[in-house]
Amino acid sequence: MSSAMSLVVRRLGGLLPILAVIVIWETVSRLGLVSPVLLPPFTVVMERFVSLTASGEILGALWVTTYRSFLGLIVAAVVGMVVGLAMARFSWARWFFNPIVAVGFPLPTITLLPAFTIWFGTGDQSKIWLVALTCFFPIAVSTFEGARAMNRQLVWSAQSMGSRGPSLFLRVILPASVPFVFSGIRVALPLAVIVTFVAEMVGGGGGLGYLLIYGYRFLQTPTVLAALIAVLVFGVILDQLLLWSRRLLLPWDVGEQTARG
Amino acid sequence: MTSMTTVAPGKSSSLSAKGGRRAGRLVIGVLKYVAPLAILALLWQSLSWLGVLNPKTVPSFFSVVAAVVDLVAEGEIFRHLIVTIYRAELGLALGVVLGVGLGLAMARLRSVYHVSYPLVALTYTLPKTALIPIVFLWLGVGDASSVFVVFIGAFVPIVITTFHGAESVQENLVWSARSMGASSQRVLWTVIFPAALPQILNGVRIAQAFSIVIVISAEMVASYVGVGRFIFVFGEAGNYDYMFAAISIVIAAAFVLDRLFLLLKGRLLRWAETEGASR
Repeated sequence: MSSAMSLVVRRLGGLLPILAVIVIWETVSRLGLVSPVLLPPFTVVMERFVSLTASGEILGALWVTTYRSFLGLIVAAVVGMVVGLAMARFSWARWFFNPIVAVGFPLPTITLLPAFTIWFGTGDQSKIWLVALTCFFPIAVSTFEGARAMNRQLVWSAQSMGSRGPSLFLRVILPASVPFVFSGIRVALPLAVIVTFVAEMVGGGGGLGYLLIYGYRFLQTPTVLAALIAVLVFGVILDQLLLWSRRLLLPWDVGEQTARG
Repeated sequence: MTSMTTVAPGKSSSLSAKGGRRAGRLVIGVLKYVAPLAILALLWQSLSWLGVLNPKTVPSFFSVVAAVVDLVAEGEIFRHLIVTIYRAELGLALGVVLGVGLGLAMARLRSVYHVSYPLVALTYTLPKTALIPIVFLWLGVGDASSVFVVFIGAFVPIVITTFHGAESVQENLVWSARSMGASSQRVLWTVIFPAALPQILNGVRIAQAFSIVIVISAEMVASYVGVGRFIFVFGEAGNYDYMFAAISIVIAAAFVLDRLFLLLKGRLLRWAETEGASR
């Protein structure tokens, strides 16, 4: 109980610096120290945020961006996990994928955006595939390293109790490697989001990135800043979605959660 | 292979034979390593030959190679590449210097921690490329805006890694330094900073990769020079072989920068490695 109280106090204390920034922002802008074209008052931005939310523009864009980045991430997680596990298990897979992953991991995939726009159009698909490609490499590497370092005793004891082939894989190796897939996703997530935003800014096709660049082109600074607030919300949503799916898929593994809190 | 044999011409024949065998094994190892990439390239080229891939949207492997040769010979790309690297590294350097400073201050001074932690945590999950439009509004299109977005993109994660690195320094190291009479300034620079350095440098490596992505992104959104713009212009004009060629050169440059950083990291952490070896 008291720990809950102190948590509340700490959370409120944490809001103070943010409030201070907002107050300074409002004052500087209202006193005319900075041109309102560059920095409109915080209250004006919030007004725009509310009106864009009421008209459904922000929620629509938020949904499109979340959908694209999460779907791309899921594709990458599935393929990355399969490849990572194959690399850990079969030497031919290790031989084949090792150089490909070594080349692909540091690849600035954003450079491929014009190509993906030609191949998959300006809509959802080009973004989803680009995110999937970007996230595949860190997830495959993380799964491979994790599955290789996996507790050998787990596999041995399962084998000594007669577990073989597919059932050993499905019941022991697969569940034990899911945490590594998640640590790969945590590396991939910021990249996925960066790629989605740029793809939306450059390639169009709706989403928060498009809303941001639209505001920029028409010098609508309040729209840009309101969309940026939505981006902050989006970052938090994605983080929470990841934590939530982790808890859903890995009820037995609480290590990382407690380490966070 | 030739260099190995010329290094030891005067040595006995058995030794040079051994060296030759080792060089042979090295060559086979390299071939075995590159083989999957060669297989993919061959597959790509044969699909182009067979007409499965539309040459209008997917240029063949050989035409991309030819375009790479052309771009390198012409040299225009390097002018853009230098601008891009300059923007990325300047923003990164600013982010590292100020980020390490704030991270150490947060770990040492509670007041700094209380003021900056909420702001840093709030911006940590913010995808940094979303800042490109507002920064363009503030600073205009060009060097300053690209450098600024890279700076923010490097600064925030480096504050966090430095802070965690400095926090996780073993307490008994700090205590023994203090008990031997070191001032808290001295403890900071001779104990805490070196102990946190490996973690900080790992953070800088990731930040460098992000910096390049951020600069290229900003250049794709709007710019007059820079390799992101260069690639984008080829894409718009439908010169896909040249576009892929430019992308390959950028990838090679990013790879070289990463290797250079690893060299630097190895130099900076030489003491840490010798410590590990003696243990």
